Amino acid sequence: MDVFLNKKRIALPKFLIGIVFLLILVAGLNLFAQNLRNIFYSSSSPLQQKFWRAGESASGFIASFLNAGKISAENFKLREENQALLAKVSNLQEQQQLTEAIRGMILSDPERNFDLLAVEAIGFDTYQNSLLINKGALDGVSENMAVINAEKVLFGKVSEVYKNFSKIVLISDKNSVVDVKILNEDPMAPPVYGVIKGDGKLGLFLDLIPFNCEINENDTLVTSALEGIFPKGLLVGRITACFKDDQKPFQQAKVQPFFDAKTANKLFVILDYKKE
Amino acid sequence: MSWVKYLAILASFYIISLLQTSFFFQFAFLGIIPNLLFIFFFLFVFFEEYENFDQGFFSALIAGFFLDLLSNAYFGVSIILLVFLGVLIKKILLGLRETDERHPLEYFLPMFTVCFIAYALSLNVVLKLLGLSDVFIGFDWKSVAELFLNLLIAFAFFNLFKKFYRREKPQLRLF
Repeated sequence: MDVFLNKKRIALPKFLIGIVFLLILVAGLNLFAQNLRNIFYSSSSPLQQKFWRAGESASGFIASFLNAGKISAENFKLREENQALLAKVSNLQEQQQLTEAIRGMILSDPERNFDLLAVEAIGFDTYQNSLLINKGALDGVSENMAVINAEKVLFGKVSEVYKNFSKIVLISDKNSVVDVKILNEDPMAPPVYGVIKGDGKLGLFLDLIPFNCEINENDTLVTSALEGIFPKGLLVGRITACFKDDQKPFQQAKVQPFFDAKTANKLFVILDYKKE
Repeated sequence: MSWVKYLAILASFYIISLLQTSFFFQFAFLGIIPNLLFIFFFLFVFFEEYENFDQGFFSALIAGFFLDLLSNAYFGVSIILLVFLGVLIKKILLGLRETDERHPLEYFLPMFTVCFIAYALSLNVVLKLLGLSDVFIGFDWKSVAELFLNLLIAFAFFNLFKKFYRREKPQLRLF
């Protein structure tokens, strides 16, 4: 009985000391949070880059190995698809004219010639859908700058900046909202605007599309620049499924993002974008 | 030689954190990446002697530190959550009926599942309370897939740990 009471008597101060220690530790860590993160990223980036590349090679090798058995079946399927595609060529030629017109419009836009900073992704945070890049405040990066790739596909925006590193919140983050415009095949149709939200697992969905607007599968989404962070015309994704529910005030759609975070080796930060 | 053990735990968590954010990201399936830091924290707590919490406490501190370091959240969110979970795991393990096996799988799987869900949900709630997240998302099918993936990996490492701990601390067998 005495032993039990003694144990309890020792346990309480030990517990209190533990809590005080924990609180002091947490307070101290938060005081030096910026420096700690910068030191950690600086010291571990060479190793992290090696792991990133090793992962790329390993996943590529495994993917090709896993797909080896499917090649003959895929070949047969592709031949069938090829015939079907030939029939669609004439339709596509007409659409190509429209695409060329859109491309011409995009390229002629003086806003396109941004001052870009080439960066490399070296890490990924699952919970916040964010990428770590190897450039920071010393390179001119600041918060809310848009991040794209060479094909002008939108990845996200800079969320945190350290001396030599920055974090990009991808547009697939749960808290991300991007205003987009839906590119319609019919040039005479009124423009349709909506917002793209992230699902937190590298996926996207389209929301806030009025009921009277028509959206279709395979429609392309580009940024509309309404939120003032991203320049207009950056590629976002393609609609894969539309959902119309009378109970809801707006239409929604599932979107296949154009960005692929796994191949985010070469990215660009737009340094000089300002909303008109 | 306990400092060697703690140094090894620290080094393991450091390497795991780098692997989690770079190497394993390339194997993301449906956007899901295993939370190795959480898995190893749980294993270190589970395989420690039930009456002790030194190794578990240290693991919670280090795993929580790296989870906070790699996220945008304030330092302390994951540290405190993991320390709390570690204490809870110990309390539950002490309260459970003793079995012939030292670390039974039938305790490991349900406890890991409950702790993983508890950690994910409480992290969501804390981030929302701190204003670091605008959205509260419960369990959807991707979360269930994430749980299964983590459970599968935890199970694989459970078997490795079991072999290691059996060799480390041989049990007295009467029959």
